[in-house]
Amino acid sequence: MVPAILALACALVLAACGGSAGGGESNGGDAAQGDGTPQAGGSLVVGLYLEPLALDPHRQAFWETFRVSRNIFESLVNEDLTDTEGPTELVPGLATAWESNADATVWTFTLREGVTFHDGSPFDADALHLNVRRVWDETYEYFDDQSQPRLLQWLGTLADARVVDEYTYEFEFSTPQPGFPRGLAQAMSTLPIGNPAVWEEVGNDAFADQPSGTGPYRFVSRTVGDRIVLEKNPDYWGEEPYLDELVFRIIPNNQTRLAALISGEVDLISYVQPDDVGTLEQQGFQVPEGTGAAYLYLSFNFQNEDLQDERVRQALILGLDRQRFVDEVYNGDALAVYSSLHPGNEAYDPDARDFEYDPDRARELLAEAGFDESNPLTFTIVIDVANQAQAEWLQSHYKEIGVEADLVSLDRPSYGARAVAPEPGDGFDISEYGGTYAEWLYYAVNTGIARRGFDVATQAPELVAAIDEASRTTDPAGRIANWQAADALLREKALTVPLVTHTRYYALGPNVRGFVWPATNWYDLTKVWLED
Amino acid sequence: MGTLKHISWRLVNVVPVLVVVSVLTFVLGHLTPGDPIEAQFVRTHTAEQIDAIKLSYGLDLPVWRQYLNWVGDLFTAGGGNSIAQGREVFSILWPAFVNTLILTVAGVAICVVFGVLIGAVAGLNHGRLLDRLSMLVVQVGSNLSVYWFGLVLIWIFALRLQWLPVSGMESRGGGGFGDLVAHLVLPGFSAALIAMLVLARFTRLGIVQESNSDYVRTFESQGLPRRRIVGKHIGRNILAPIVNITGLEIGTLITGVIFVESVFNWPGIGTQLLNAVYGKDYVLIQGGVVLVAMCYLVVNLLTDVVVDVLNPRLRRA
Repeated sequence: MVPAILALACALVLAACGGSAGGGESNGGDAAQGDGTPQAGGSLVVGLYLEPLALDPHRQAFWETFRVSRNIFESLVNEDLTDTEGPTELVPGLATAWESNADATVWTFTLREGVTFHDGSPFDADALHLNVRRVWDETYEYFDDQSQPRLLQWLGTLADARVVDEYTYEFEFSTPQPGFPRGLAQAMSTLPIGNPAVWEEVGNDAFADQPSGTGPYRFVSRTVGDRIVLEKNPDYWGEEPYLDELVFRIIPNNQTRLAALISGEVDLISYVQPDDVGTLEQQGFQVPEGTGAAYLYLSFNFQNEDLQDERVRQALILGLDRQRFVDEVYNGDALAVYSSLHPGNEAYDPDARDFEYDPDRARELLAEAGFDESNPLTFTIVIDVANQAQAEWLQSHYKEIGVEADLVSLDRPSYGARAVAPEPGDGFDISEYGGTYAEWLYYAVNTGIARRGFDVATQAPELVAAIDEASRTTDPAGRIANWQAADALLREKALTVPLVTHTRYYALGPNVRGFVWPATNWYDLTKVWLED
Repeated sequence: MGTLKHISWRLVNVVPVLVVVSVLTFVLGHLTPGDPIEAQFVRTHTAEQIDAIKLSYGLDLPVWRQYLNWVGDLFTAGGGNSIAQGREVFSILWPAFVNTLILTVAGVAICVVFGVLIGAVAGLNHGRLLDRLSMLVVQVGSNLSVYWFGLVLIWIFALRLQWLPVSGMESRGGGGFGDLVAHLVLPGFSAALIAMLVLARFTRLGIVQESNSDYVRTFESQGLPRRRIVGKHIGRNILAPIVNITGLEIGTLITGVIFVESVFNWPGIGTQLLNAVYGKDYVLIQGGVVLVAMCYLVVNLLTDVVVDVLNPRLRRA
């Protein structure tokens, strides 16, 4: 044994001496996509960075949950997930067509015929109606009080919902809902369709243990903390997927997830760290480029009086060189963003700018607001420890315009708590989110900004009016234009600081083909196949 | 009969300890910042919508009511429903607990076998080069961070040499006992490391002390074979302290297992608790801590009993 221990000690020394790791095949970073003839069969193992929540269509949160569940449950409306530019085009899902009345309060859906749930029971207007009743109608025996408030975002003003005939269904809202189809397509908190026969048999709580939908894959097993296994649905209505089996393993530790990919234990990982991109490509792994819909931004703490001053907030945007942030923190693998309507959003405008980098103007504005070398602007940056590198960069960068920032780096739950209830000296925290639908702007204002002490109604009435106007605009082009106009007001007021959107987020094994990173926060695995 | 009574008394004592643990766990869980529902919906839902969700989980009740409900759930409802998963926490924790047990048993086995071996080799070669080298390794090893050590093991044995798997309990489409053992080697070693080295040091010390004692000198002068002295006399005399130290070190080992599980993605109770802490899933955290606390108590009890049996002198004390 002693020799073995000694050998180990020597190995440790060798390890310390470094050298390049030689895990995977090194074919020089050839990230070939979809070449050759697709081969059917095989099992794809995905390494998730977060434990998904319950596999219940109406109780979801977190993208990692949706990346799994969307293989089981489908929505009335789908997105074209081969679209890498965005905004993704809406395509038929469980509904083949949809239309609204002139003021977008009544939406009529024509449902796809011949679709069955995983247990063979049919999908029709009655099944859809039970889905709606589960989250909306308190008189329904299986009304789920845990689902209902989660879906208020889209169904909050639903006044009536009715079966017109076997394959026609109508939603009637008390306010215009021009963005409803896109809301349905980004289905996590709208209305993915589950199998009512199952919850009526086992109850609402147990549904997640035997989830049943209409999707291309059906549930096999789940061990919380370890894995979720799905198998191909042989009766799927759509194009048959290539892979026989999907295994989602939960690997929260960043280094372990990376090592599992390199050693071939998993085929696809999410949340690749900026510093690992080069290593992976060198060893023949694919790190596709794209722009997802999640983006990083700074949320001001408006309870800090200094930040109630618009000049100070403007200075913090003017004093920020986002391109340098991209180059130095992300080694160039990210995209600088200048608007809350980021590249994945349907109302993205590539020319929209808040304030271009101008450190001199930033210093001037700070001086006007009463800050100088003897009395510098000081505040605390609050971050999730995962964003340490980003925050340190900001801290030193802001020194250049004379801002003295402290850093408080917290674990995820503590960060979450402090972000919604900041302390008076907090300046901003680093947030991450972003919807693909234009209405996301409403939530950006009413969650992030309003909850941190900015009284939108009195301090920015024109912004409230613009958002209200955009929410009611039904003409598609006018709707997008109005959301962009609302965003212009948001930018002008310097209420938030957009930073970057990831351009490298997933990594794939050398033999994975057909994976596309669309301009959303999720992906389609039905087109993915494994080369021998 | 005396032993039985002693054990029953110890068992009765476990109850108040568990009550204190449950109260502390509950209070700490609720005092630390963060909220499970805020964590999920802070970016997508307004304050009113979030309050409505909290209401549906009973998170608006006063804390003492929530505590009583939870204690009731411990006995009748499988520890209550996990906030993140919606299912009974013991149904989540139990399989994870078994996995942790497997890893802990492997860790203890590695710790005892190699700890005693290293200690014995060093002790029997007291003062020689082999002794000095072993003690150097022990000294350096005891100061390593388990987390870092685990990553280094992965890098060498899984990525560079590709002898052993990186993570989890089974290979792709694999399974079977051999596969499990292969997955156990690296996490088992990482978990055992510190306790193993402590044990090695104590074993060495015991052997050195016993070797210098009068009775050994007497035996040696009478010409008894060395193998017999070591095996029958020194060995037996250091057995009780070894069991005692091992019992104590199992505590250290269980604490270490939580880090090891994170590094090797072992689907055990440490991984579960870490996930629960990230999601602020009070119910799962509380159930898990109570389970771990019970483990400690049981291990302590068992160690006492074994030491009792091995060392009759302690029975009267």
